[in-house]
Amino acid sequence: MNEVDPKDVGTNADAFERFYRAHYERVTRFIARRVDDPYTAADLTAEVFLAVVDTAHTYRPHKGTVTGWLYGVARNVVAEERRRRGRDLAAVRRIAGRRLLDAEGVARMEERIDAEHAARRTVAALAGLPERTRALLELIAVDGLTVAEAAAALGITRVAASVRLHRARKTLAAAVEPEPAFA
Amino acid sequence: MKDTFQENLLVAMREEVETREARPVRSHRRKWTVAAAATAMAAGVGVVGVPMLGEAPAYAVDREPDGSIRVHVTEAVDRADLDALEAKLRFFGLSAEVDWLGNGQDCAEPRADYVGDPDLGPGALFQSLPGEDDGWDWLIHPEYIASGQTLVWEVQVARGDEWAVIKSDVRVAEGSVAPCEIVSGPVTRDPEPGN
Repeated sequence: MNEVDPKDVGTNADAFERFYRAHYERVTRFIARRVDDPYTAADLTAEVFLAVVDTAHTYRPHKGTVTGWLYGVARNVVAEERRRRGRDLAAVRRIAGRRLLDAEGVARMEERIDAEHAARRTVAALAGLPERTRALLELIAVDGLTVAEAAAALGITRVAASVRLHRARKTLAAAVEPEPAFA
Repeated sequence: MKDTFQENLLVAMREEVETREARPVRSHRRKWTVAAAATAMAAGVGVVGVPMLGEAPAYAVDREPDGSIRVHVTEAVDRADLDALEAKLRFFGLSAEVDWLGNGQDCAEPRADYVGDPDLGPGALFQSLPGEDDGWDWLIHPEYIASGQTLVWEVQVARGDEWAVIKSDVRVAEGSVAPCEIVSGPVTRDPEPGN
């Protein structure tokens, strides 16, 4: 695979374009699994690629795949947006994604958002879990990452991810089991 | 159907990257936090701190009766504070590397040969004490650190209306410890202070 070296992505427009075309769909899908408004999705897509450009030089191959790293970046952007919303803070955006949306762009974004309807329900269902557990489960159950990729995205070891996952399974099982039978 | 947004964003992003090519150093952090200039002190080690004139130091280091060392920090500290803090810990016989990171920052690893299982945590060596009104307290038991070993202590701090410690990452290294090269790490949402 002619994977672009992320180190070049922040400094070379052609390298960036190759990276962008290879990962655009992955990023917009990731966001559509968490956001149901096409304008916010456009803003966040722009934010993710800006963050990619800003942090490309920090990518370390030994810490995981490019995909894992990219999901980590995307997750940080979405988490930052949630935090900001929780505090009612307006975002300072360098590129306002929504301004780049025309009717066709909105329609394409809405298609993705519609297609990810079930995934957003899963994300919402996980909302009550502790943050660390939720983040890991989201990446594995909702985004389809492997445990190793999810660990890389969260900056934790694979062992730590497995331990967290094991505990989460126990917690979820305990939450589901005591359901009383209907008379 | 053609994705016009994809193409429009690509054009905007290409411009961004081309502009950056001409830019000497990355300045995104400043732009990124325009709305939060007052909290820039928590942005990390790379930011030069502005000490308050005539005020008490942002930290205190004291020996407890049982021989443990109590570190008390009242506000976000800068690299100079941390150097002084490390010197004070050395005075108490403890070799330590202390770094202060923003939320979403991490030190590039490996920076040292660590001893012990990283997933088991620091155990009895290090405790975060229940938060007091005027800052954060930690207790270090230096008897768990042998001669030639160094305490590697990375404190992650949330930016916000007020700074808040998210967590302390504590390990023991054998031999030398490289300086922290800041890289992006996981961002903690809704940090629970005092961890």
